[in-house]
Amino acid sequence: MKQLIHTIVRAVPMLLVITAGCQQQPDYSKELKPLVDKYNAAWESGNIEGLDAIFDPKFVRHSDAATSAQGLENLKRVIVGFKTSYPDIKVVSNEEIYTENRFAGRWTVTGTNTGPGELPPTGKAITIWGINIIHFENGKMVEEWDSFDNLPSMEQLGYTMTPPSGSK
Amino acid sequence: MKQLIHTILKAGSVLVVIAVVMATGCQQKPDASQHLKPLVDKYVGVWNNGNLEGLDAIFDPHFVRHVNLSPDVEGVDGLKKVISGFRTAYPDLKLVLEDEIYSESKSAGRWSFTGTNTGPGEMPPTGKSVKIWGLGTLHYANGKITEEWVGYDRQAFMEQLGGTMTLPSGSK
Repeated sequence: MKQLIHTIVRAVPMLLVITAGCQQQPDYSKELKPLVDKYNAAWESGNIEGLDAIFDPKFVRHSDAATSAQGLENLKRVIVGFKTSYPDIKVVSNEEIYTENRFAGRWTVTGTNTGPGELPPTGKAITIWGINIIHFENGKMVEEWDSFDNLPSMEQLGYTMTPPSGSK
Repeated sequence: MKQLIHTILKAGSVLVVIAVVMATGCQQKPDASQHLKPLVDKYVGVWNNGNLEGLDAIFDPHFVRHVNLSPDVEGVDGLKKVISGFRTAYPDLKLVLEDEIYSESKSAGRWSFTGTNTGPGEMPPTGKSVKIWGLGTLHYANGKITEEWVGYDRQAFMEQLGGTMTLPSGSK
């Protein structure tokens, strides 16, 4: 009898362990979305204050030649530079996927090139969309991959691409 | 005494039932990558091996593909034309998945594309090698891929092929 009670009592911690293991996959967006939102807001406002709290100093952004950045300080320069060239920049998040320490998103950016940049302002409006993946470490962003087609936005700015003529 | 044993046994069986329910509940929440990754791997495989028939099993007939600002590609047949077009222009093409993210019914990935432009395509073959990377997301319903979004830098792609970008005459 005593043994039976003993067995049952011993089974209880095991059940607790099973129950704990059974908790649904955590909702990673709770932890990561506030950081992503802050980052998108910084692009839109050009306000780089507060980025230190969400980025690792050794953060690396892989993107096109103009907006790639090594280190957080360079990222800030890119964000401020973009805001200067496109003062009315709007960032819209179209899709968000969160998993442990990683985020993927699809975004749309619109803006009018009324400020100086690498070139004198063209006064033209651009709309581009792209996809980015962000990696997190210890609750901070450490790496970003951001891809979008630069060609249409350059064409929207008045550039022309002369295609290759072929090898023959 | 008998009653006590009875009560304990009953309590025990309740615990067992709870355990079974819990364990079953667990199995209903599998790692999303387990059911989605095989589809992604098959899709990437078709880009590399050209076995287009393999696409029918993993794509929804109403599949839509959005690439950059290009016109949408509709249906599995549209997708097959895209892939065979690339494989003709870049017969040695290699598509490698470099990063993968999975949620319940969506995935995202970073890929790299290498290939030598030795075959005809939209342009006469340039003979040049290209290496680009891009990102994509896939949406799923009923175990099939229903939608794809792909972004990559076509400017870099064209420049590697020998295209040139001309500066605007410049307004102020």
